[in-house]
Amino acid sequence: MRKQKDKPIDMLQGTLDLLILRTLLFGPIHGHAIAKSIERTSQDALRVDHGSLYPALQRLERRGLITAEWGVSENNRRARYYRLTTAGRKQLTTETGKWERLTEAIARILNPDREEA
Amino acid sequence: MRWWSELKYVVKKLNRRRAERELQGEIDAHLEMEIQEKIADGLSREEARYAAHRAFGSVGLATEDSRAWWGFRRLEELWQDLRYGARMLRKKPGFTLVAVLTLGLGIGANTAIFSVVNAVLLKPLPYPEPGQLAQLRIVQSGKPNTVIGSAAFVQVKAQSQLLARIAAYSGGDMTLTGAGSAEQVVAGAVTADFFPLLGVQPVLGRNFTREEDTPNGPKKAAILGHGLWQSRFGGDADVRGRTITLNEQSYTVVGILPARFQYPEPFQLWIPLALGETSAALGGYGEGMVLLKAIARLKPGVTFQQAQAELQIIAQRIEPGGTTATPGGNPRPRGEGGEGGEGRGRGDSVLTLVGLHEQVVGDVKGALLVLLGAVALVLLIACANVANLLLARAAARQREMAIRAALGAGRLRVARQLLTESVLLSVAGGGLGLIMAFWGVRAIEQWSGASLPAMQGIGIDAWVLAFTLGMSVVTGLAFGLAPAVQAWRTDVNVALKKEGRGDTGGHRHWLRHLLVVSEVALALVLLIGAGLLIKSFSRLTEVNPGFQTDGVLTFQVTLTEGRSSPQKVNFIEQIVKRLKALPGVQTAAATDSLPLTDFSRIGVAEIEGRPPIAFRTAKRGEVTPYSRPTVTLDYFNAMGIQLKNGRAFTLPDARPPAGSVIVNEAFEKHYFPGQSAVGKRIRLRARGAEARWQTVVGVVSDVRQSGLAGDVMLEVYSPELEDVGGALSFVIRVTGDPAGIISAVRGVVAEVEPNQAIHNVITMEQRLANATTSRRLNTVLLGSFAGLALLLAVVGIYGVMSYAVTQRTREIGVRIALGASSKEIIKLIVGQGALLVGISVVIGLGVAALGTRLLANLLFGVSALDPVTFVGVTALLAATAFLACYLPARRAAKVDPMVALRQE
Repeated sequence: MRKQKDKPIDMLQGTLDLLILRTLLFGPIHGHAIAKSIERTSQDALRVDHGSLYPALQRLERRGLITAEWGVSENNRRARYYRLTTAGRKQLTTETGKWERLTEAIARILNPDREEA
Repeated sequence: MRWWSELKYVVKKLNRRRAERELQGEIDAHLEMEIQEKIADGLSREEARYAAHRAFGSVGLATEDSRAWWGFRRLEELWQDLRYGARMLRKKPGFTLVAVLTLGLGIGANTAIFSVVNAVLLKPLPYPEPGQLAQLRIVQSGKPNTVIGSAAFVQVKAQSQLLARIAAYSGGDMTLTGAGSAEQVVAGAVTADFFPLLGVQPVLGRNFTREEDTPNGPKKAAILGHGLWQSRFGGDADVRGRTITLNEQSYTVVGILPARFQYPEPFQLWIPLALGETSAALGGYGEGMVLLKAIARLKPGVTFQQAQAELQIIAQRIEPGGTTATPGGNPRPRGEGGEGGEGRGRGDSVLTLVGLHEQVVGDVKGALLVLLGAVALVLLIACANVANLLLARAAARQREMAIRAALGAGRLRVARQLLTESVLLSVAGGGLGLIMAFWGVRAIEQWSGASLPAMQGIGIDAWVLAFTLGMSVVTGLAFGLAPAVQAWRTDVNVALKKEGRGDTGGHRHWLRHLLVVSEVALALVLLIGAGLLIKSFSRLTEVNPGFQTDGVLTFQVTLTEGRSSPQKVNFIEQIVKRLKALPGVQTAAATDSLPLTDFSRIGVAEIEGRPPIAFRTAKRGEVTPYSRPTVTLDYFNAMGIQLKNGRAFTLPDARPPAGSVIVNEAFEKHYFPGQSAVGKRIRLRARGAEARWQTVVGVVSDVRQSGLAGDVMLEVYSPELEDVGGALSFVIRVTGDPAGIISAVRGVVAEVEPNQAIHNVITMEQRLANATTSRRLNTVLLGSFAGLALLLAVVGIYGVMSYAVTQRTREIGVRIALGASSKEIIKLIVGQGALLVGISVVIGLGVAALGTRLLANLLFGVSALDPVTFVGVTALLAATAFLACYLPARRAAKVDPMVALRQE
C-alpha cells in the first residue's frame, strides 16, 4: 500500500526522454527492460505507462540521440535493442546538468532556511 | 549533423509497412515479456495478460503516437486536410460548382481587364528613358493633331536647344515585289535620327546614314522589321544587301530590327523620309511642304514645361504666315494680299509637345479606368457571394464541428482544415479564372483591333499571374476565416443539441444579410452604368452623319513632295476621270477634308456689308472658325449630301478666279439667320489669307465632319483645286459592293502615278464603324460585366433566401399546421427578401447618383443622371430579385408540416 507521498508522479515528455537516455548509459537494452529499469531504480515512485515509452523512443531515434537494432533477448525472443549515440551522450550530460541546476534553484526557493543551515 | 540523422530516419520509415511490422513486433514482444514476468510472479495467463496491458496503457495510443514521428507531420496533416476538403466539396457539387464558377468569373474578368490595363496604361514604352520622349502636336480650336507640316519640323529641329533629338516620320501602303509574290506592306518613312532617338539598334546591319536620308541620296535603303524578315525572307541572315522593290523602286536592305521592337503604328518596314532640307527649311509653304508626324527626345533634366516654352518662342519667331501649318493647309506665300501677321491663331492653333506615352494611351485611359472600376466591383460581388455560401455552409456544419471537437480535435486543427477547404475552393476558382482571363484577353484584342494601343501585345504576364493567384488565396483565407472562427467559438454542448430546435432567423444572420445587401447594391450601380452607356451608344448610332454611307468606297493619298499646283490639279482630275470610267461606278470625287478623318482646315470668314473684324484684337468667341474643304465638282453627289438651296458647282466654278463657294446650313444659320445665303459674298481668311471676295452659290445640308459625337462645324466648300492640301481623299460611289473595285482603283492610281502609295482603302461604312469601335467595345464590356454582376447578385439572393427557408422549415411547418395558407407563407418569405432588396436599391441608387458623373466623359446625348435609365434598371433588378425570392418561397409553401415537425 503506497502512502500518499509515494503516489507515482506523472511524467513530462522531456523528462521521460532524459530518463531513457540515462538508462541507456550502460549499454544497449530493449524497451521492456527500460521500463523495468525506470520503475526499479526510482523505487516505484515513478510510474510510466509502458506504452508511452515507444513514442519517446521514436522521437529520440529521430533526433539522432539513440540508435536501434534487432537482437535476441534473454528468453530467446526477438527484441529491439537501443543504445546511445555520441550525440545522445552529449545531450544526456547537458540535460542532466540543466536538470540539476533547476532542481537546486527550486529547492532553494522552497526551503530557504536550509540554505543558511 | 542532426538533420542528417533525421533524414536517415525519415527515409528508413518511408517503408511504412515494414515500419509498422517492426513496431507491432516490438510492442508484442514487450507485452509478452511483461506477461511472462507476471506469470513468474504467480498470476494465471489471463490475469497476467490483463496486468500487462494495464501496465502498458493504450496500445492504440502508443502506436498512433509512435507513427506520428515517422513522417512530416505538418505536411501529412496538410495533405489530409486537402483530401478531406476535396471530399467535402465533392459531396456538395451544387455548392462547389456555384462557388467555383462565381470566383472564376470574378477573378477571370478582373485578370483580363487588369492585363489590358497593365499592357496599355501601366507599362512604360519599351525604349530607354521613355519619360523623355515626346510627340509634337498641333492644337487647333482645342483639338490636338499629331500631323504637322514639315516646315514646323525643320524649324524646330534647327532652333531647339532643349531637344536632344527630333525625328519625323510618315507612312503608308506600299507594294513589295521581288523575293516572292507582290505584297501590300505598311511602310514607315523616317528620318535618320528616328531609331537612335528611340534607342533602337538594328539587330543585323545598320541604321540609315544621313546621305540616305536626302532626296537625291545615293541608293534607296530599307530596314526590315523582324516580323517581315521572318515571314518573307525566312530569317535569312544574308538578307543584307539584297534588293527589294517598293512601288516599282529598288531599295537595298541595310538592316533588320530586333524582334521586340514595336512602334504604335503598324509599320512592317522602314525607308528614309528623305525630307528635302532646302525646300522646306526656307518656309516655302507652297511647294514642297509635306505632312508628317514628329517625335522628340528631351535632353536629360529638361522638363516638358521648359521644352513647351521654347517651342512657343520658336513658333513665334517663324511666323508670320505661321509655322503652325494646318494639315492639308497650303497657305499662300506670305506677303500676298498684304495680310501677313494675322496668320497665327488667337490661341486657336498652337504647337505643343506631349509625352509620347500620354499620346499613345490618352484616348483610352478614361474608358479603361472605368472598366477597371467596374470589374473590381464585380469581383467584390463575387467575393460577397462566395462568403455567403461559405457562411451558410459553415452554419450547416456546426454539428460536424462539434462532434470533431468532442472527439478531441484541437481547435487550431479544425480551423486549419476549414481554411484549407476555402483556399482549395478559391484556388480552383482562380484556376478557372485564369483560363477565362486568357480567353477574355484574346477576345478583347480581337474586337478592339486598332483602337487599343497595345504595344507589346496583351499577354498574361507574370505580374498578372501573381496578382490572380494572390487574389485567390487571399479570398480563400478571408472567407475561410469567418466559418473557422465560428467553429472555434462553438460550444460543443449547445451545438450538439441545437439542430433540434431549428432556426427562427433573426439577427444572428446579420453578416449574411449585410453581404447580400451590399452585393445587390453594387450590382445596381454597375447596371445603371452599363445602362447609361448602352443608351448613349444607341443615341450615337442614331446620329445622322449627313451623308450616305452605303455603297461608297474611299481611299487616301498623301502627295509626295515636289509637286507644283498644276501638277496636283492634273493628278486629281486624271484620277477622278478614270475612276468615273470604271464599271459599276456611279460617280467619283476628291476632297482634302473627308468626314471622319483627321483632316480639316480652319479659317474665319468675313461677310460683305458687315463690319470687318479686326483680327488682331478680336477675342476668342467673336470669331467663329469654319472648315474649308476643297472638293471636286461631283463631291456632293458622291457623298450623298443634299443640296438645299441654290445650285451645285459647275465646270466654270473650278477655274479661278471664279470665286464661287457653297456653304452648309449651319453656316447659313449662323451668319444669315432667317435668310438665304445664296448670292451673299464672303471673304475667307486662312493661313496666308486669300483676300478675294467669293460668292455663295449654294447651300448643302450639314455633315458630321469630325465624327458622330462632335459638333457640326460651319463649312465653306471651294472647288478651286489649286488650293488643295497635301492629303487627299477620294470618294467613289458604286452600284453594288464597293469592295469589288478595290483592285481596279489601285490600278487607276498606278496608271496615273506609278509610285504613288494609297492607303486606308475602305468603304465609308467601315469608316463609320471604325469611328465607333472603341465606344462599342466599352459598351459591350461594361454591359457584360453588369450582366455578370446581376447574375451573381441574383444567385446570392437566391442562396440566402433558400437557406433561410431551409433553416425555418420547422417554423414554417408549424405555421402551416396552424392554418397558414400558401399565399401567406409566400408573402412571409418574399417579404423578407423584399426588405433586403429594398434596402439595397436605396443604397445602390444613392451610390450610383454620386458615381455616374465619373462616366460623364463617355456619355453621348445622355445625362449622367438620366431618370429613365435609373428607373428602368431598378425595375429590372427588382423583377429578377423578386423571382429569386419567389422560388424558395414557393418551396416553403409546399412544406409538409408533418415532415417538417419531425425533422431533426
